[in-house]
Amino acid sequence: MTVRILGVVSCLLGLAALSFYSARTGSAEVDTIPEIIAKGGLPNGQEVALTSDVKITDIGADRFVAQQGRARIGVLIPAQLKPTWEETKPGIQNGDYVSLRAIYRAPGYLEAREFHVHKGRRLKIWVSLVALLVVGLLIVKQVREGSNA
Amino acid sequence: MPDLVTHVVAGYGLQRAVWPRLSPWFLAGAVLPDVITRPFTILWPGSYWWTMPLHTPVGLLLVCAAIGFLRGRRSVFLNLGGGALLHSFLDLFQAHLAGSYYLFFPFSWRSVEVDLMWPETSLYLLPLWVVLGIWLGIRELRGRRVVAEPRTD
Repeated sequence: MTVRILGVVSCLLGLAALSFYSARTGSAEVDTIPEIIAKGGLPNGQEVALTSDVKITDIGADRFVAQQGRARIGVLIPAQLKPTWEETKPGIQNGDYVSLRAIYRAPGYLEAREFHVHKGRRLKIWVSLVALLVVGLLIVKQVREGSNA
Repeated sequence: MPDLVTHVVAGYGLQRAVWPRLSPWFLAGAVLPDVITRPFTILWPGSYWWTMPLHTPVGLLLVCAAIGFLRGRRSVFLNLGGGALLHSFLDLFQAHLAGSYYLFFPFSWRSVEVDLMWPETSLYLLPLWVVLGIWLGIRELRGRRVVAEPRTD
């Protein structure tokens, strides 16, 4: 029993150390809107990549607002991306997920360089919840039967 | 990540092909990396770098080991780990605009992927996986019934 407890505690401590290291160091590849806002903006012209759970809100003719949690920032679609934007826009709804690479422009908006709207992402989340429910029920059944195989 | 139905059916199919008995722990491993990270990043995007290690091989090894210790069985650890390994392998085929999977974390920040399809593309194959999953499930139930019924001759 002691070995099991020590094992669990060691693993949890290891995970905590990994999380702390990751949060402290991070990767230069991916940014988040809360990070950008917390820093009070970025140097004009700095490149950013927003790829994790960014939602589109307030869709306009040549712009949209990107939202991550409660943090929001405006995204301008430049002329060279207009054809792609016009092609993509009809199917987009508020709340759809988007990934984008962009340039930060003072005083506080982004100019898109590349973007991809994940139109099926919301459906994917709901579908995944069904799979999760099935696996959860199987695990509960397994644990109740007392079998670990 | 492909959707979790794809991960579960892939896990189920692989396990049935290799081992005669299904272990729900293998299926749990096949969904584990997303279950312990995505709810946090969807609800609190600022937590991305805190939860990211839980979607890496080293982080998953520790999570599977912790659950294995908790249940007190090596088979739980091995099944969970196998499922999580399969999940990571399938995820590698996806494309992202930036930052994909940090397979070598915490030793390197180099991210790796094959760039074959967008994460939501797996949805187009979903009907196929659902039919395949139902077919495999019915086969499993029939197999169990045949084993459970006593011979009358």
